[in-house]
Amino acid sequence: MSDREIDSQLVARAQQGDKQAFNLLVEKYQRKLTRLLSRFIRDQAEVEDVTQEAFIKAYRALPAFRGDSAFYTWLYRIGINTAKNYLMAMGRRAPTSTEVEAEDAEGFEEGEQLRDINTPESVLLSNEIAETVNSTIEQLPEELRRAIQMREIEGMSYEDIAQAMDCPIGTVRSRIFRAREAIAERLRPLLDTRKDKRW
Amino acid sequence: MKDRISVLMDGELGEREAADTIATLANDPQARDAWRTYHLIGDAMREGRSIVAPRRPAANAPRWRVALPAMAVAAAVALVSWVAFAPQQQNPAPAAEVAALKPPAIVPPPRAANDYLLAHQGFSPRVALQGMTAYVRTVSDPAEEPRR
Repeated sequence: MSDREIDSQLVARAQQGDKQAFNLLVEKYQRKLTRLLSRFIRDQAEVEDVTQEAFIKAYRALPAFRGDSAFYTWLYRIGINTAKNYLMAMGRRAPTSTEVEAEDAEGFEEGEQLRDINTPESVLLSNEIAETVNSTIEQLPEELRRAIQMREIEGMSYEDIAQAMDCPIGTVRSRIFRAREAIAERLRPLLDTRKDKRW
Repeated sequence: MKDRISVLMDGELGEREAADTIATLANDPQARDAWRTYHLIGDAMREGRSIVAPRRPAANAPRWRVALPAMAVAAAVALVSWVAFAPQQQNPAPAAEVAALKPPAIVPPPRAANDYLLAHQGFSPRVALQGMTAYVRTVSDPAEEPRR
């Protein structure tokens, strides 16, 4: 099942009143949306507020979402409009349509510009979390590290990774899972202390 | 279950199994925790890809190839520090050295030098004059002058 199909299923469940299904979408896309909005709003606290407002608007508008576009594309539009309204209400310059339309919602994550700004990601994911992820990856056995990097960074399919690593797809699946669990195990003590965060 | 969440996230789970996993996700706090944490890991890796996967020197690279750039950086920093701070350092010389110094010989300028300096004072730099001193003109009021 593709990423878009997974989102569609979660949306369908949320439309039927399953709030946890919507929470899963929030947990999946909150950082991506926050990074997007931080291009237009520099203050970290404001970005978080606007992101949260965008998710609330999305939740309210969910019954009207027909799935003509991908969920994130739809969420992207809501996020941009929420940021525009916020900036205009604050008497500040809102992003022009050219600035916004020039970005492809689906490909936005790969934009090099994102790496030049002081992204809220660096705040949301505290240095401690980022360092834990990095150091754990460095300590992983070579085959686990390569597998998860090919998946998460290069976006390769299991089949392609299996070819690159010259191993069965089942092994790829296992290696990626074991890598994730190893990192998650090291992260859990940090994440447990952050449950008071708004998301 | 966590294994299936990992595969689901990667879009590699079959339709039926994916639907079951999504149903479980919505009802199982531990499964949701895994979903949340795995997504966080992915975001952290993509966001900090230059940090996550630093280029390490090849295992068979000679040690000097690793050490040389570090030494060059250290040398550059040391040079900049010296240039920046050395002129400001006013370490008092040891007393013995001071005592050993002979006072500089004072050679009176020739008389003609005074005329020269007076004639060219308009061209002299005024860096020694601070603030508004350069704009001060000396005036005198004859009435205020003591009678001679």
